Amino acid sequence: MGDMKKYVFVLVLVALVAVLITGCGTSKPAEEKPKEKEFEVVLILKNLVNPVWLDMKRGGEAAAEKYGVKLTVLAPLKADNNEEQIRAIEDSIAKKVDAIVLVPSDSKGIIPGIEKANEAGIPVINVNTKAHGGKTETFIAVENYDAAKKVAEAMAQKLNGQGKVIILEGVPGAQSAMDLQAGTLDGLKAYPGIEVVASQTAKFQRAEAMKVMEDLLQRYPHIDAVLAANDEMALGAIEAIDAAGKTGKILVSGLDANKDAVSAIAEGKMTISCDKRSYEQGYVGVESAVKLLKGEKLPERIVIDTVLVDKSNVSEYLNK
Amino acid sequence: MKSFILRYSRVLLLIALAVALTLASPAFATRENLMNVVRQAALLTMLGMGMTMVIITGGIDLSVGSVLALTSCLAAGLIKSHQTAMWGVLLALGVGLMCGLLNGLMVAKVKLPPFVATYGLQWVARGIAYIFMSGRIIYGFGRGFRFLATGYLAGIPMPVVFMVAIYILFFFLMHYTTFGRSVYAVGSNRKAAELSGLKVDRTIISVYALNGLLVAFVGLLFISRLNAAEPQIGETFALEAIAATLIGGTPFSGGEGGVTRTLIGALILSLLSNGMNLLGVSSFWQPTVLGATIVLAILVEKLAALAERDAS
Amino acid sequence: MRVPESIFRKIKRLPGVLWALVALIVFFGISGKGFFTAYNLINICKQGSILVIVSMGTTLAILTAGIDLSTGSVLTLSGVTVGLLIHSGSPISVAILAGLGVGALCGLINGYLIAHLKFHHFIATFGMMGIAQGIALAVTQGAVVPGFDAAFRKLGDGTIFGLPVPVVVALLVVVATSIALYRTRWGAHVYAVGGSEQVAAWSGINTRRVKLAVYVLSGLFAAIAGVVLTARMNSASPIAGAGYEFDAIAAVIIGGTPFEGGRGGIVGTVIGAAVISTLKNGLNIIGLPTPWQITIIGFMITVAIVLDVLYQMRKDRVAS
Repeated sequence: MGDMKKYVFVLVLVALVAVLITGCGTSKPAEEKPKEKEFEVVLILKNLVNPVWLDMKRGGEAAAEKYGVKLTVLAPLKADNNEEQIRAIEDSIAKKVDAIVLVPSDSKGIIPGIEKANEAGIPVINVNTKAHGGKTETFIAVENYDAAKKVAEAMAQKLNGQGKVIILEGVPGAQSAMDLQAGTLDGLKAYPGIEVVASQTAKFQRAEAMKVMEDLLQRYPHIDAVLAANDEMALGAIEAIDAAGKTGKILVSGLDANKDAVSAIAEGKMTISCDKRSYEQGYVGVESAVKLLKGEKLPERIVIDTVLVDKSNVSEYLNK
Repeated sequence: MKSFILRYSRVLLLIALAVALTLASPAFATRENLMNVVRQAALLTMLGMGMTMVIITGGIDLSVGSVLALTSCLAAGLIKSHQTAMWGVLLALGVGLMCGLLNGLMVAKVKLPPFVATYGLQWVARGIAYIFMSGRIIYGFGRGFRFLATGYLAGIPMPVVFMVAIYILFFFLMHYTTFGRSVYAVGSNRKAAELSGLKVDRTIISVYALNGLLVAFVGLLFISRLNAAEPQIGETFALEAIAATLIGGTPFSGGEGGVTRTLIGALILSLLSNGMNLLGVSSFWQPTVLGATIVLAILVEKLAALAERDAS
Repeated sequence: MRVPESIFRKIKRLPGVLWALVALIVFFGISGKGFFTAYNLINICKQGSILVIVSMGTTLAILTAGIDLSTGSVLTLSGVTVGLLIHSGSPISVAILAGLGVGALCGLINGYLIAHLKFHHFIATFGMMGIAQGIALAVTQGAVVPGFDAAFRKLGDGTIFGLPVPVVVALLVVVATSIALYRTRWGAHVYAVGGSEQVAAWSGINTRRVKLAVYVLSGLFAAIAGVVLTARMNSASPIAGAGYEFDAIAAVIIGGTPFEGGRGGIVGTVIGAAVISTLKNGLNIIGLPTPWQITIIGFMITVAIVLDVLYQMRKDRVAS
């Protein structure tokens, strides 16, 4: 009886995995060029929770389709988990992929992973968040610092250089959060009439931002603007402001120009966002990997320009 | 005197906390802020009620956060695309009920430990929510649906109205019905409950199913409040609901406790979090304060019980 | 009282989950490119060693019919302690001892609350989970503690007789636990307390001391895992251990040690941990999208446990 059970056990497990895996259809574009060696590239993201990374994934997939390479997209199960990112690198090395396109969750924490890829001779393309060690072929940069500074300056101008503002920060300790915060503060520096009354984290999350904002509105009922380090938090703050009946009296800015933020700007609930062009980042990331594999030399740094989005140009984004 | 302290230690803790915060922050004891605290506590309290019922049977439900995300994500699309929110609401409640039934069956019939059964569903429900949304966020609901969580009834925020209604319902259910009595009986001694002719399996399944239904309802309120549905919502809800139950004083061993205690527990938690935000305490300390509060609340109870025993 | 069983007899009663592991290896070996290579199998062992170390302590706790929910946070706190001390100039040995001390101390507090103050094991360790996590975040201000020198990194990256150090450490912990559990009277007492605390107490066992030791060891093992993880990642993240407690509990339950305590053992746990690690590695190698990975892991864990429970039930029925 025991053996019987074991066989059933094995069969059921194998069948389940097989069914589930074939059922979900890992998307790979149909290839029709068997002559050339098909390159295999892996794109490792911070998480698949924030729309930003999903845009990046789409960009990467588009480039993969265009150049006819096989692309696998991996992200940690626990969002932004450094160890799982390193595991993904290790697993990709085991699979002998040709190149790794990497968005590190943490600039320093990721270094052992990059070093392992270096040892294995697999080139690493660094995108979005700079890795502070190991050898990377190029860095595809969105200057988070510059983008946040640009938004902060634009907001200061909308406030005519006067007023009390609240800053909503990203995940404590995350590289992007620190760069964004520095950019925001430096952007406001030139405007002595602007006072930052509170600067608190809402972990890049909408629900968290709503709660933090509700409490802050109790403490500081008379503020003029909220500068959030991403759109998700800006949208959370907008709901809290809406619930307090202060829509329109408090200006709100974010970054990323995601879909919801664009509609909020069109509705006049939000003031400014910044298109960090995640799709292009992903596209250029995979494209650079292909160029490198075909023997081209990459510049040390490829900068992707950011674009401010406000009422004046929001219509271009609405139909995207 | 001692037994008074023992009996009302959580209420006293709540009052002490409120007094301390009033002294510490001028923004605390304002009508708006108190309303804000109660409104923030409302959803947690409702989740806590369901969790309390589950814990009284000697079980636990780790899947509430994921089930909440799954039901609200599934419902969000329907709510947004239809004139009436009814279909979406029905779908959410139906899926919540199904998830709860599944948990209940796993615990009662397959005899899985509740911790394991609900832990598995926690992953599966979360995964399905991600797959279903495939990166979308559904944003911007109609006025009618948003009224559920942002409206007012006679000056009282709707979530608070629901919280009171659900509290009364659960209080009645747990203390004045045969169902409630069998919940306590199952939790305090399952064998004895079986021998005395109670339908133990059916009670357990109903408890988990009811909890699933409640979780789906809270999920609807949550997305109505947030005005958006995303698959990652509610990751900490299970632990928070458990914390509210424990701080309120319902013990893990089952068969004891009740929803009134959880109401107090949820209020204590919300006051702590609101107070820390008002005082500008770094949010890093929040998990520590939460953990320490749980341990201290129970430590006080244990010490008071010891003193009581020594006195008599 | 039970006679300590020899390890050999334990191994003869291997849990059915071994077949699940075999099935997984066969499945991924066929479908995953680069899965069945020496590099990757060592890779899985390295990745899984941290989980094995943590889950040894969890096995002890569950054998006494308890649980330890704080292992993930204690792992984090110990890792952060070591990282900060090394950066403040302490010798590596002192830093490691301090990290292990912090873990043992957390375990001691858990054990004292549970054994002496009669706290419910869930409540005490749930409280500790929050306390340790918060302290780790606060002392690091949420930031990752980066970069150590080569000597410390050996603990994570080096090899001893060709075996990676993390694997060696895990082996040592497993051997030490099995000797304690199967070759000493203390081990028999652990099983006895889990079988029935009342009966154990009547037969003259100091149940308090047994439970206290179990939780101290659980904390210590979590700390060992924290040190190894910190060395392997070459950084100490204040969220490094989040989720490890649940993975460890899953490994124990999959491995056939039930929550009621009193039966089961560490061989099953090692296999359970191997199943989880293999599953994560294999799914990455196949390149399954993250949301599907989340779903399948939960599903497989449940299926494995359900089959084991059904098997137990039938065996009990046949026996009676």
